This record gives sequence, C-alpha cells and structure tokens, in this order.
Amino acid sequence: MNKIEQLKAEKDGLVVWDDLERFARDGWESISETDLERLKWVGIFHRKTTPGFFMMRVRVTHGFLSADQAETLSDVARQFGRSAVDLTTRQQIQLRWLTIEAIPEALRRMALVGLSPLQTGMDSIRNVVGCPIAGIDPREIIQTIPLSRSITRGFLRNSDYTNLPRKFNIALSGCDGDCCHSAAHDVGATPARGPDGALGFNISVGGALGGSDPRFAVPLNAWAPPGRIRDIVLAILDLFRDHGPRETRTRSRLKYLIDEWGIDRFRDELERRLGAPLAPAGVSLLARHGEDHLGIHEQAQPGRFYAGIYVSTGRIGSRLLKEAARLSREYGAGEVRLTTQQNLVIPHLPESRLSDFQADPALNEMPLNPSAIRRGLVVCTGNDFCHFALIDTKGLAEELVGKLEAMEAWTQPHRIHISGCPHACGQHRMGDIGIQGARTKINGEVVPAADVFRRSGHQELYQLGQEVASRIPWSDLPELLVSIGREIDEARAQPVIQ
Amino acid sequence: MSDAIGGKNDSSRQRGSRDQTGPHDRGSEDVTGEAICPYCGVGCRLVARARNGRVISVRGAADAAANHGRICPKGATLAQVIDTPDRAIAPLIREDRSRPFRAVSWDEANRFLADRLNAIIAENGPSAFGFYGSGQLDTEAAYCAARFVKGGLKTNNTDSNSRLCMASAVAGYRSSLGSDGPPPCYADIADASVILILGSNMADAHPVTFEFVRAKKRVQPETFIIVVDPRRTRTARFADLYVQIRPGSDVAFLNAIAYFLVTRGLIDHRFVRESTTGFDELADDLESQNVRDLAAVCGVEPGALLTLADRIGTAGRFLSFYGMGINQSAAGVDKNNCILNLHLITGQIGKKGAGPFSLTGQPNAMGGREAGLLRDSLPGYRRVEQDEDRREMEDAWSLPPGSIESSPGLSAVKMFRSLAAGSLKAIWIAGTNPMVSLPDLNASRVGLENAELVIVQDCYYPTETSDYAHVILPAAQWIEKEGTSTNSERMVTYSERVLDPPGEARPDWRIFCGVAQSMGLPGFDFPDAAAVWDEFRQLTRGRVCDQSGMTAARLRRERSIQWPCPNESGPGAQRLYTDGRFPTPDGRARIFTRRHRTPGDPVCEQYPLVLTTGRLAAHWHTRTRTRHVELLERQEPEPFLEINPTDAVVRAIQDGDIVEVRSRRGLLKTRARISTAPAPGTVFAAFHWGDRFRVYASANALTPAELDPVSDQPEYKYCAVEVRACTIERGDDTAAQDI
Repeated sequence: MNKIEQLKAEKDGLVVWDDLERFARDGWESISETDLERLKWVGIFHRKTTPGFFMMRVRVTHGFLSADQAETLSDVARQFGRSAVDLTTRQQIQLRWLTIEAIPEALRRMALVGLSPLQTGMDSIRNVVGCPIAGIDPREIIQTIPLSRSITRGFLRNSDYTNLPRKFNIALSGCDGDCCHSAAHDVGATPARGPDGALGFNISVGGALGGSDPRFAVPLNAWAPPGRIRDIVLAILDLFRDHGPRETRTRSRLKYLIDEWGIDRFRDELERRLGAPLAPAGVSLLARHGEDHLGIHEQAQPGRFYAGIYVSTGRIGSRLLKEAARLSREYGAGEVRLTTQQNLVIPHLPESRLSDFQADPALNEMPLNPSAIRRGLVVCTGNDFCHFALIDTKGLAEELVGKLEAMEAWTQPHRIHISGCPHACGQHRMGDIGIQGARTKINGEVVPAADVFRRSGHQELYQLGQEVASRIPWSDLPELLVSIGREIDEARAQPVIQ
Repeated sequence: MSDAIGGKNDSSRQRGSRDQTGPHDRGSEDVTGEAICPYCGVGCRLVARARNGRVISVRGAADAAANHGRICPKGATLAQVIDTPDRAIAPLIREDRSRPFRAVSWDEANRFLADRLNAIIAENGPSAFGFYGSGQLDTEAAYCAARFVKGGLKTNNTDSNSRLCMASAVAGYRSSLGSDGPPPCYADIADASVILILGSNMADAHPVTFEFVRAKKRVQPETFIIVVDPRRTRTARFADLYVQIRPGSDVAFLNAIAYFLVTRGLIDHRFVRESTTGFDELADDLESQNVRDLAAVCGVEPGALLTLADRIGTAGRFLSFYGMGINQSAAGVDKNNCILNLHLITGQIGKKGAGPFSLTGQPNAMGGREAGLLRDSLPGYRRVEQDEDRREMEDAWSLPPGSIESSPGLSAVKMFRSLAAGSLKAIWIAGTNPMVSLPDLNASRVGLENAELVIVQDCYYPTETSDYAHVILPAAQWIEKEGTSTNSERMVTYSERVLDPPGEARPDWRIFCGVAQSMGLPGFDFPDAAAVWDEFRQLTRGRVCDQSGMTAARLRRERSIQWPCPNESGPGAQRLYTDGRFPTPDGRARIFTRRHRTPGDPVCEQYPLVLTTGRLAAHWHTRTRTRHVELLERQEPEPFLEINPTDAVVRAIQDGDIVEVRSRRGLLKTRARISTAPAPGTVFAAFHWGDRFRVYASANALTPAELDPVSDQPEYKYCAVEVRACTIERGDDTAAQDI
C-alpha cells in the first residue's frame, strides 16, 4: 500500500476539518506530517517553499461568483494573505500566505458568503467546471450551472466520496463550443441529441492531461437527459472508488480503470450500478471549441451584454478582484464568472451602460481585448509557491509575452499554455503552443528553460500538443515561438480534412 | 343578560353519587379517576380525587408518558374551576336577542334547534350553516360534530379554533410530509443533542414538556438549546443560544440556516437522495440569494446564523419544537415548510432524538384533526377534496354517493365574515370563545351581531361570546364525562368520568347527537362514548393516524396508546417515518422553496411599532377557567403591554402607566410593563382578556384579519400599532378599573 493509501485508511482526509481550531491554537509546527497531507482534502496546502504559510484553494462551482463572494475573498487575501489571489484553470481561486492562525477566521468569513475550500485537493472530486457564460450564452443548448451545483452538493462533505483512488475532474459543456475542454477531464459531458430528438449530453470518460501519459477522454457511447447526469456522475464515482487501481499513485486515475476493464465493460458495470440501461451516444451538437469569451458579447437576454476581461497569467490579486466585484455591481448584476482560461466574465451589462463600462479605468489593468499574443495565455502557479514547479512560470510568462508583443510575433491568436512541471496544471498539451518548465545549464549556470509543444491542427480539434523542442533556455524562447507561431498559421491555412 | 337563569348558583347540588355510570363515586368515600388535563396540548394525565361530589385534589399520573407525574400550576388548581358560579347548567333559549333567556328542557332545545336549522337550510341551503368547534372537544364530540355537519347537514362549513392555532402546522405537515401528524415524541427530548425552540414560549405555554427540556439539560449539560423568538421569553432565557429575530422574519431566518447547511455540505446525502424531492430547487434558490439580505430581514448578524447552522448541521440528534410564533402567521405554512426543510435536508426525522415537533395548543386539537373537524378534513386524516376519501366516508355513514361536499368549507375567520356579509345565517359555536380569541374582534363581532341564529355550547355561561347567543347549550367538562383525546405526541388518552355534570349539562357528543336525532338523521343513536369511539377508530384503519387497534375496552384498560396502532394486540408507535418513506404518491417527502414575504399590516409613520401577541403561564385562552383561580389571577391580574425602554422613553411612558395601543382596526387600553424582553420596535400583549373583564382589554381588537393563503390561519404575531400614554394619572388604579 502506498503512503497516501495508508494515510487515508488511517483517518479520512476530511476529519482534519474539525481539527483546524486546534491547529490554529497550537501552531503549524504542531501539525503532523500526515495531517498536513490531509489538510489538502479540505483545500489547505502547506507550501514547502514558504514554510509556515498555506495556500487555500477555494471551490467556486462552475466559476460562478457573486460580488459579495469576490469582495470577501479579496478582503481575506488582503488581511491574511498578502493580497495574493490567483485564478485557476478549474475556475477557482487560490489564496496564499495564510498562516494556520488566520485560517479559522478566513474560513468563517468565507462561509458567511457560502464559500469553502473543501475537497479541492488530493483524492477529491475537484471543482466541477463548465461554460462561464452558462445561462447567458445565445448559443447555449442546455444550462449547466444547476447540474454543476447539483453534482457538487452530491459529494461535498459526503464521506462516500472522500477516499477515491486519486483526484477526479468533471466538466459540463452546455453550448456548442466546449470552452471547458470536456475531454480533458475524468468525466465530460457535451450537448447531444438523444433518442426522439431530446436534448441531453454525450458522456466521455478517462481524460487526464497530467503526467507522462496525457490522454483525452474516450466516448462512453452513452447519452443521458440533464436530469440523469448527476446520478450517472455519482455512479461513475462509485465505480472508481470501489474498483479504481490504488497501488501506484501515478497509475490511479480513472483512465487506468478503463484501461484495465476496457470501455465496454466499464459501460456495463456502470449500467449495473445505475440499475438501468444507458442510451447509446446521441448526435453531438458540438460545433466549435475553445472560445475565450474575451471582449463584449451579446447575451441571450435581449439588451444585455457580457464582458470577458483579461487577467494576465490569472494573477489577479486582492485589489483587482475587488475592482472586478465593483464593476459587476456598478454595471452588471453583482455577478462575476471565472473562466478556465484564468480570466473573468462580467455578465448582465445593459446596453445603455456599455460605453461607461468600457471607459472604466479598471479595464486598463484587466483589458477587454488584450493582444493576440496575450489573450490565449494560461499559466500555472510556478515555483514561487509550488515545490513541483521547476521555474517561476507566472513571472517568466509575463516577460515572455512582453517580448513577443514587442516582436509582433503573430496577429492571429494562439493559445500559450505554460506549466512549471509535468503535472500540467497549465494544461500545456492543450495549448497551440505548450511550454513545460525545465532547467538547463548555460556556461555552468542553471537557468530556466522550456520543453516546447505544438498543436498545428485547427484550434477546434481535440489534439494534444507534440513536443518540438526540449530544454530551450528561456531567453531563447521568443525567437523559437515566433517561428512556431508561423508554422501553425501555415498549417491552419491548409484546408481541414475530416 | 340574565346570569341568574343560566349560571349555576346552587353549589349544594349533589353529583354522581347514585349514578351507575360514575364508576368511582361511592358516596362520601374518596374516589379517584384519571383524565387528560383540559388545558394545553402537552396532554398531561391527571389523577383527580373527589369527595362528596367535589374535586379535592389533582396530581400528575406517575406512569403517564406526557408528564411522568408532573403537573403545572394550572393543572394543579383545576379543582377550583369545576364548581364555579358561572357553570352553564341548563339549555337556554331566546328567540330575540333583546329578550332574556329562558331555561328549557333538552327536548325543547333540540326541537327548537331542529326546526330553526331545518328552516334556515330549507331557505338558504346547507352552506348557510356553520359549525365552529374547538380543540377542547374530545374526539367523540369532534367525530359526532363532523359526522353531523358534513354527513348529516351536508356542509363542510365545520371548522374549529384549531384554525387559529394549528391549521398551518397541519398544512405544513401535509404538504411536506404527505400527512398531518407530528413525527417525534416526548421521549426524544432525552436523546436529542440539539434542541431548537422556535416561536414557542414553552416555559409558559407548555410548562411540563419544558420541564423535560430543563431536566435533559441538567443531566446532560452538553445538550445545546437554541431559542428563536422576537421576545426574550422565559424560554429564551434558558437557551444556550438565543436569537432575537424580528417579528415575521421566520422564513428568512430558516432559509438562512438552510443556506448555510447547504453551502457547508451539512446535509444527510443519503436521506436527501432517497427520501426527498425538491432539494436542488431549494438549494439553487438559496444560492441565488444573498445571505446577508436574509440576515438583515431577521435583524440578526450573519455570524450568529452561521454558528447556529453549524450546531444544527453537526448535531447528532436534532429536535425542534415550534408553536404559535410559527403557525399564527400569514406565512404560517411557509414557516412550517421551512422548518420541515431543515429536518429533511439533515435527515433528522424518524429517528430517536430527532424530528420536527409542532407543539399543539389544546388538549385535543390533534383529535379534532383526526376526527375530521376541520373544514377540509374527514375522519382518519381524509380530505374532502379526495374522491376516494369522500366515498369511503359516504359508505361508512350509509350516505348516497355525492352526499359529502367536495370542496372545503368556510374556515373560522371566514365564517364570521360570511355572517357579516349575510351568506352565512347560523353558527354553532362549541367550546370556544371567539369574541376574545378571533383576530380583528370589531369586525368579527359584526358577524355575530348580524347572524340569524347563534348557538353557543360551553361549560361556562356567560362568556363574551354567549352575549350574542340565541341558544345556550350547557356542556359537561373534564372529569364530568368520559372521552378520548390525542396530545401533541399522538398519544391517545382515555379520560374517566369521576363526577356528574352540573344540572342539565351533557357531554358534547351527546348534545350533537341529540340535535341530529331531533332532525331525524340516522346513525346518531350511540348508547355511550365507547360506541362513538369504536365507530371512529375503525375509520382510521390503514390511515397514517391508525387507531384501529385501540378498542374502547383496551383504552379503558391501558389509558394511553400512541398512534399509529393498527393491531389490537400490538403497541403504538413512538415515531413516524422511521423507514424514510412518507405517505406521498412517490413515498418521498417534499422539500419546498419558500421566500420571505413582507407581513400584510406594515409599520408606517402612524403605526411604527410591531405588536406581537401571545399567552402567559398563568392563564389559558380566554380565561373562562383560569379567572376562577386566585393563585393564577394574583400572578397575572390584568392585561399589560410589554414595551422596550427605548420605545417607552421617547413616548414618555413609565412602567405601570396606562397606555392606549392603537392599530388600523382597534384600541387596547392597558398598563405598560417596561421590559427588555421585546426588542426596540416590538411590543407584546397577551390575548387572554376580553370585554367581560373590561372594555378595551382585548389585544385582538388590534390584530389584523390577514390569513395565510393556504391554511386560512390568521396572523396574530405582526400588527402595526402606535402606543401612547393615557391622560389618566399615573398609577391610579381606580382609573385603570374604569377605562
């Protein structure tokens, strides 16, 4: 039995939720090594790079945040966390520099606005992601926010789902654009027409992009109406919990259970769990992929608009988060949405307020239309706070895009995804240009470097980036990326053969 | 008004000594008998000792589940309310209210009523008649009344004063759980880890049950007691956590708690999934709201609500008690649904130490509900709107199909409105004193004034209501009759007869049957109370409130049995829904999404204070009994208005001043009691006093006639008023008597 399995068997991860007051009283050094691990179940991560300080990953289901919630997080970060606030690719918010003493009060304030970091780490069901423009998208097929919430309520603080073999990701797409990259998750649902033309979802399983074996999800050949999605997802979780491989941490994700069983048996077992047959896959309604939602767009509601605003590298900070909340109150409906590209959407802007909104000084720092180079940037945390990362991804990314902009590297947007290590929190194999942090030596000195990946296929296709260069010193990257950008442009100019 | 004719003034009258149906009375020898207490819904079983036809002592029955030998001051002084000068002892009739009553025989009274009712119904149809009963009536009486009016006279215009106290609880249980009937029992107090008391001043209104809460806290100090009430009552002072919410804000409060339970994942996942529907709709609605707004409506810090939700959500066993603060509201059903929501999402129902416990106000409000006394009910928790239910009752009562009306009749307040409007011509009032207890008394009075025929059946005469009567029917009370009652915890208790009733007074069920027989209606020739009971209990077979296993003989042997009890040899059940299945079509309980509504009698510049009404430990309802007890009268001799010092100071009101309290409808003149029990902006008055105490003594002159849209229960807890000091000199007691 590996160390983590042992730890879970000894004491459930969530149990430390009740120990927080005691930890706060006795100080961080009183917390045992195993309880420090368990704290990740409740979303509190001790950072080895900054001993005594914790990161807190706050669950924001479907990226849906009220202005109240945004302000609370901003205040908590300012008061207890050196104003650090990052947006993540799972539409969540990460706070940093928290001491264990500050955590109970931080949690209390968050609880008052309905937020908690529960189950955002380790072998938990991670934040359910979905279209940030759900409910306002003119091209929406099915509103998925209620489904995301229903699923979340089904597992939050439910001890049936706190001891999974490994983490578990869920994505629900409700429009034809799949901006949340459903195939990159353990379970993905995308809109499809089922029997009798009913609207529902096709389901895919086993996606996971991290590690040495990144894979997209495979179709389950199953269609379900919206009302059944929660039960299907929970039944897949039941299967994963009871049968998923637990021996090796690197081979415990759902995809390995599917490898072991084959997709047909997996489907059979699922039907048995559900006690009812699954309909075969319906006709997929996906037509696009990977919209970034930036800029001003019409909503489904006449006379209403949403604004996608860019947050560079997702590092929003306390002040700008509060500014976003203010924008949403002043011009919108007090609602801020987080995107999987680490940006924000402010919905419900009336037409009459658009020009005032666009002139708001806050948009100088969070632009509506960043350059073609910046707008597709997704960046993981980096070695400031993450001991896995080999480089300071956020800092180096800023430097890199600055240079690329100066070089006018390209005019058609290309997504640059940067991860500091193979865990792929920046989803670098999903980017048109993917960068995985590395180190190399120049003249005997260790310098940050990059393994570079390229997806030359059309943006809308599910395709993993292929490695095109390795250990490129960071300072040499701009030149290389300019040429890769051109290659991609050329490849895409070719007619798409399907 | 001639008190001398109807009121009892002959105290030397012998009772019961040679009556064979009085099983225990043997001349001058002491006799004892057991009967359920006639006051609140706790349903204490009491042992009365009588000598020479008089009760000489009352004590609690040691083996009674409701009280384990305990007794409250009202129950302990019951001996003093039996032999009073104002007992009704003979049927009285006056054709015209300007003329005095004349005492008549039962035969004459029955004939008179038969003729009058027949004439009114012949001219105007059955719906011109209304029956307004009471939770004081025993089940035999409630059943006979329901059968008489719904089956015999063929109108569903029968309601009871339970409409004023329990209607919203009934509608709440029905809609959320599929049926009326409180799921927990008193024994759950001992097993609960968190006890939430909402809108109930248990310490005063249900003192014996509250004693069990106190005892539990004494034995297990870790038990956490939460009290939620706009007024810092004696109950509130006992709490570990007291939450003073604004009057009328209960739905917002309960939604805020539910919000925290949901967002913190403090729910019973399995129970929600397998035993309920509607969870996600509620949760979505809650998450679309700002909990700070909800907290602002309640006037409570969000942090306090969070703490409270955590207590409830992490409670091993969560029991809640709630009373008139919840039910007596224009949003009463919503409030009930919201309480039930808390229990459903946490799965705290149908298990030991847990459950939503609606405290019943009267000794047999429950039995009346079971017997079909309410406007929309038929015996056995059947509903008039259900074809199957009506058919079953028509069969049972040998009526042709279609005899029972398929729509609910008039509810209590609407009967009085219909009398005023002239669509209702005759009303029969039994065991209640609406001219003190109805809301908006001035408007309700117009109804009685306008009625062609007012029949008042009571054990006391005169009362504020009998002043409007054409006919007075004298009723036996308490230990003067045998009968059956169901208390708050579904415990059915048989009460013995120890004494004979005074004069011509009769058990209520006999009075109904007498008139029914005079009208030529078949099926009312019951030889005794046991025969009535046996007919009724068989009609509960297979129903949620199944009492079919409790034969009259068995009840007389065992005294108390809890329903459901379907087998004659089996015990009753302590709790309902222990298997997580509910009597709804799909077997699941309903979680409802409810939103706070602003009460209908809003405060304004002219009426800036909120009056909330309630009851006191020393008195019961309209004081027809308790005013005879010196001990109780000394404790609470007169009406008063509780007012916060902040509100008193700005009005130059000092403690003990006589004040005028005005609402949009009426006036109350009373003594100010300056107290921090109500928060600033809220004032409190008890509703016990009526016109016979003195003019302008009724708090219900002020209360609005706003009804809950589902239950038709009136709002007694939110009434916009202004208070000002009277010109009468301070502390002048003679002046106070004169006002």
